This record gives sequence, C-alpha cells and structure tokens, in this order.
Amino acid sequence: MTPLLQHVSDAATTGALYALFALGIGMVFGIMRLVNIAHGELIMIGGYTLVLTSSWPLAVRLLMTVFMVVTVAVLMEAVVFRRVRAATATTLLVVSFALSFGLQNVVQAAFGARPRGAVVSTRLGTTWMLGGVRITVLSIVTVVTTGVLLVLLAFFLRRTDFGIWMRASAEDFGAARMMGVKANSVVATAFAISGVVAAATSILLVSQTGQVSPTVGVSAMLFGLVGAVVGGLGSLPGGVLGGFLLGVATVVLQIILPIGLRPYRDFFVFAAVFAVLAFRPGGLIAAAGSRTRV
Amino acid sequence: MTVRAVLGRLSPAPELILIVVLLVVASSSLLGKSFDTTIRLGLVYLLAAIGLFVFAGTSGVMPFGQVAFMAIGAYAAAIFRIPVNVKSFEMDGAPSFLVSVHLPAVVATVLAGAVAALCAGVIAVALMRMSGLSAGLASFAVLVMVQVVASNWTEVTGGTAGITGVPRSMDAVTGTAWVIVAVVVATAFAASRHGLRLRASREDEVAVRSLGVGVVGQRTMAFLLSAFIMGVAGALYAQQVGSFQPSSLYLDITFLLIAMLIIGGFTSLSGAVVGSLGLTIVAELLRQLEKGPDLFGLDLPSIGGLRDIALSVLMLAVLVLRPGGLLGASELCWTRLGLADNVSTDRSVNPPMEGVHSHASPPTSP
Repeated sequence: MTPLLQHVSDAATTGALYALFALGIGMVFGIMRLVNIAHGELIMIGGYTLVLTSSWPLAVRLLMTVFMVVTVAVLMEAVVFRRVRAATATTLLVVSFALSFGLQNVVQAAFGARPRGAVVSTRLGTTWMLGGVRITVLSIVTVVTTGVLLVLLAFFLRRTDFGIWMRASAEDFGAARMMGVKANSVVATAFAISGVVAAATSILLVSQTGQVSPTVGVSAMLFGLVGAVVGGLGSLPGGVLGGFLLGVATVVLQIILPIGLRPYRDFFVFAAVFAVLAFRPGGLIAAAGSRTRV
Repeated sequence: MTVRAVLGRLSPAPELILIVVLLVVASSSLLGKSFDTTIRLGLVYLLAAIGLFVFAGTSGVMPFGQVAFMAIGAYAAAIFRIPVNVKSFEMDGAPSFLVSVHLPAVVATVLAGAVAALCAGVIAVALMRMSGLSAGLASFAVLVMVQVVASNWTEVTGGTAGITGVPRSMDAVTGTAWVIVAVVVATAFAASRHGLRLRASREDEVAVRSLGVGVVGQRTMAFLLSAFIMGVAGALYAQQVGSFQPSSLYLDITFLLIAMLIIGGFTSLSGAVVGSLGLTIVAELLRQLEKGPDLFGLDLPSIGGLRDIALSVLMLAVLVLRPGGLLGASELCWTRLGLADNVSTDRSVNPPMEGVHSHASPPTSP
C-alpha cells in the first residue's frame, strides 16, 4: 500500500508540473492559434534570472523572475508575433521556432553552454513523512501552485470582462474584433499570462533540478506541447488534463515497465500520444471552436 | 512540339536541375577542398528538403517528424555499408543477418530508402487519416520514438555513442545525381493526377472529398515517396559523414529543413530548392564571417554562435516581410515564358463550352 501511495504522490507531482507546461502552451494557442515554441525560452530566462539574483532575498527574486519573464513574453508578442499575426499556422510555428533558436543562442553566447547551478530555497528540499510516504515540500508546493494558478485563471476567464473577451477571441478572433474586443490588448494579456505561468514553471523546475542551461526549456516545451495537444488544443481544461495525464503516464510507465524496457519509456509515452491523436485528433477534450464543421 | 514546348511541360524540373548543376560545378571548381563537405552536405539537405516538400508541399500537412525516415535510412545504409569485420566488433550482440549483410553503395542507398518507405507504410495507415496540427504532432511523436530506439538499441545502433565506420563514399556527383532524380520525380508526381488531387485537397479538403477523391490514398502515396527520398538522403548523409549519433538526425535538422521550406515557400518545389540552397549558402557565409575576417579593413571580432543568431534573425526577417516564403506558391518556369499556348495546352484542345455565357436557368429535371 505504502509504495503505491508513494507512486501516487510522485505521479501527482510530475503530473502537476507537466500540467503547468501544457497550460503555458495552451494559453497562447487558445487565443492566437500559435504554438509558441519560444515558451521554453521564457522558462529558460526565468531560470537564468534566478541564477543571476542568487544573493537577493527570496521574495524579491521571485518577483524579479516573474517581472523579467512577463516582460520578455510581452516583448515577444509586440516585436515579432504581432507582425505575422495573419500568417498561416505553420509559418507562425516556424517563426516561434526561429525565435526560440535565436534566444537560446543569445543566452549561450552571453552565459556559455555549460549548466549553471541555481538554488531557489533550501527549505524546499525538506521531506516530510506522511503515513509512510515520503513527500518533499517541493512536491506540495508544485501541486498547490498549479492548483492555485488554475483556479485563478479559471476565475479570470469566466468572471471578469477581460477573461470573457479572451475566450471570445479564442473561439473566433474575427467575430470578437467585430464585436469591439480590442485584439491587441487581448493578445498581449494572453502572452503576459503565459509569462506568469512560465515564471512559475521555471521556479519549480529550477527548484527540482538545481541547474539551468540554455536548453533547459526545450523538453519542458515539448512535453507541454504534447500534453496540450493530447488534451485538446484550444481548450484550457483539456490542455491541463493532457499535461497532467502525460506526467502521470511517464511516472506510471517508469514503474510498471520491466527493467529491460525502462530506457524505452519515452517510446511508449509517445506511442500512446500517437494512439490518442489517431483516435481523437482533436485531443481528449476538443475545444468548441476547433472542430471542423462540414 | 518544339524543344521549348517539351521543356515547358517538364517545368520547373529543367530550371531547377540547371541551377543545382551550375551551383555545384561553380562551387566545386572555384572554392577549395575545404568546402567539399559543405557542398556535399548542402546536397544532402537539398535532397531532404525535396523529400519533405513531396509530402508537406502537396498535402499541406507539415510532418514535423519526417526526419525519422532520414534517420532510418542513415542507420540502414550504415548497416549495409560498414565492412563485416568492423560490424562484428561494433555491433556485438546484433542479429547475425544484420552483421553479415554488405552491399555496394548505390544498392545500399536505394535499399535504405526502401526500408524507410516500408516503415512509413506501417504508420501511414493511422497517420494519413489525421489532418493539420494533430498530424504534424503525431508525426513528431514518431520522430521521438525513432530517436528513443536509436539511442537505446545499443547492439544495432551503437546507442547514444552512435555508429562509426561507414565508408565515406558520397561525393558531389552522387549527390547531384540523386537530386536530379528527386527533382524529376517530385515534378512528375506534383503534375500527375495524384499530385493534382492532393494539391486540391490541400486547398479545400472537404470539397475534394465531396468529389469522390480518396484523400487518404493520395496522401499515403505522397508520404511513401517522401519517406523514400528522406531515406535516401539519410543514406547519403551516413556515407558522407562516416559516423553519426541519434542526435545528429533529430531536432536541429528538423528545424533546418522546415525553415528551408518555409523561407522558400513550401507549396512549390522551386521554393523548397531555392530555400534549401539559399539557407546553405547564407549559413556558410555566416560561418566564414564568424571566424572574423577583415571586412573593409575592419577586424571583426569572432563571436561564437554569431552564425546561429544571425540565421535566426534572417529567418525572422524573411518570415515577417514575406510570410508566404520567398517564392510563395510560384514555380520557376522560365521555359514557359512567352509561350502562352504552352502553359495551358488544354485550351487549344478543349475550346470553351457552348452556352457557358448564357446564365439561363438550369434544365429542370423530372
């Protein structure tokens, strides 16, 4: 029983983290039909901010991280993505890819390619024993942060005017504009929110791994993208669910695969992703506006 | 028909072949030996870009994982070409038929392409039913799966350390020959009725389906052809570099190929070729600049990574200014210039229908 509970706790933590990855990607896609590959670099920038401010008080560091990441996210939109807003989805993807590549190389040129150590807070490493299950403070913080962000976001999207404008833009951008929704504000806010999510992700990720490198955001972005698509691109709850399931699946497979097959864990994860997409191309929870109406 | 008329029908293949051959001959003779690798790799990437176009450009679905077939082709060619005694040492524990097989270069290349196409056929059953981003991501999932297998099946692929000892028999002539073959095949396919149906489905899938076209079947054809060409490109890559790891044929190359297509204009073969050649040339120029040569008497400092940053900026600039790509959807059809009767021979054979101008009410059916 106890090992099972331990596995459940591990799975929940990884699931929460992957859900956060997926939330960041799904947020921007929902509004702009843009898969922001550069979201990984937002996470990277958050990580490097933590490294560079390591001597500052914790609260200030966290605020600084959020500030830096949100600034870069909004700048990304204003300088690059706004100009290509009318382009096809694939072009937008390649633009974000180029941006991601460029940012990685700029940071690499400035700070070098080798990983740098970063400590967020030593208190996060303390473990508690709850009924025989070993839980770190970090796990609890991860799950709680994800939950809080989700609740806040859901409240924002459902109860505030701005949130309703954003949901309307996600369903039909053109119609929303015709109804008077200010497109630029909505898009900029979507990016800002994705920046907040990226900042939270970077703090949690750096706490977990203890280091940053120019490529630290790549796998987070990949898993976030896969989770968001599997869950249902364009549908925020779907995206979060997809990310969570992906995280849980990685942990579950790690446990149940025989030792010889464990290195092939990602093979099975992505085979499952392929299968989900084959049977439900719109994702597990297809968004209202994304189903093609014949 | 005149020679020009014949060439016009084959457009844009002759123009593209001419450009490629001229470029290869010029660069081989004018530049030193140190550029040989660049030229050969440039040809490999060009071949891969054409392979990617054959599916992505015609069907409109961008397969993000198509490099998986390049990797399969590369490993297959390596297994076919590495001398048996080296293999028995390197691939300790692999199935014996893999260790003992040894083929000459051309046969190995063709067979590697066939192996890639076979693997493509297996997943095509499921993949071709998907559209849009789901298809792209499912294709990416395949890339990751191939990568995981290549990194872990150490007995056969050497794992993350990679595979070595492939005879470096690829040269510019082989590369150019394969590019010519690929250009002809791609042009023929795009102009064939299968290609036309596929390109129509790219524009409006529902309308084309309503006309009774089996979109899945057409896509499968393009997918297999594309996988074959990518497999051949991978085989040539293996025979050029001699040794490689799973990470050599993964995300970086995927990004590069997609960028080549998008910058050139991914709905036209000329776009794929121009984009590929253009990016190779620009990347090489930037690599030379990175070393910090004297420019107008100024000694430019050599900044590591400058090439990659400049490449990204350049790509962003092109995409922002011309979102459709440099060529958009137009092909390089110089042989057709000034030959109005050649572009649409249909018009001389099928005169406009009688009664088309009168907008009379359609006949009422009983």
